[in-house]
Amino acid sequence: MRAVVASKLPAGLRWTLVALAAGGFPLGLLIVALTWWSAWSWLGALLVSFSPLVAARLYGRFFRAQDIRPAMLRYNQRLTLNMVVYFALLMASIILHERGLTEGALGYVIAAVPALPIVNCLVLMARWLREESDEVVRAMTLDAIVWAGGLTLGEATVWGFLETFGKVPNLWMWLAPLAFFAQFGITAPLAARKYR
Amino acid sequence: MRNCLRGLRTERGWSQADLAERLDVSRQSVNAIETGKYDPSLPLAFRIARLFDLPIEAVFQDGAEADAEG
Repeated sequence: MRAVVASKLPAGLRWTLVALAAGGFPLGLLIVALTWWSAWSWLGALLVSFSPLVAARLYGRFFRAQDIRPAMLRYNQRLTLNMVVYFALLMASIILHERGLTEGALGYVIAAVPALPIVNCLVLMARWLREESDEVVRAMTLDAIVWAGGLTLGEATVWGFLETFGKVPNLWMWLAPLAFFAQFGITAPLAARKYR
Repeated sequence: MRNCLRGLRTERGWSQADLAERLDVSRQSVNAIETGKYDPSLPLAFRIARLFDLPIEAVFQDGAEADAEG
């Protein structure tokens, strides 16, 4: 087990760095919205995906002297590699689509390939839980997963009915796992409070 | 379930981190068990009892029993 000691940097600087990292998320969303389907939108997508991860890591490092369990460390490493693969596949699919190569049967494969690393995020999470020997960490994580999953399903159901009755616009289904992971980021620290 | 883990730990002069390392669990787990916020599984409860060289019922007591004794 590797103990990470809270940083000695001044608190103001620590908060500023965390805020800058977290600010990448709304900035990324704005860039994606303003530069849809251009090269700049990739930068926005990168910011949207990595900012929460970086902000969470900085927060943990700066403000909480905590144990990093080996299983969690391996999960973080695999997740980072997985996200790099995701962006490579996403960019490849977008480029191929822009060049008109997504016609026919192969088009289905090209369009579906970026989903694989996102699905793999769930597999990585299951693997982390299987490898984690600490039962409190497992219980906390399962609580957080159940809450985040329940919230996501509930929101998707409500949105689906609103959409059916023409009250809200159509949303892409791939937003569901993103909503799940974003909410897991909120439910995980809340679940941890129960055992503190 | 109640337990006397904190007392047993402090008797030996161990910190929560020391005990966590001996049990191969997180410090947060030790704290959660000590404060009664988490009841350990039977395998972990046996590991704890073995570490202190005590029978399991000397470390952990059923809440109702502890109330009756107390």
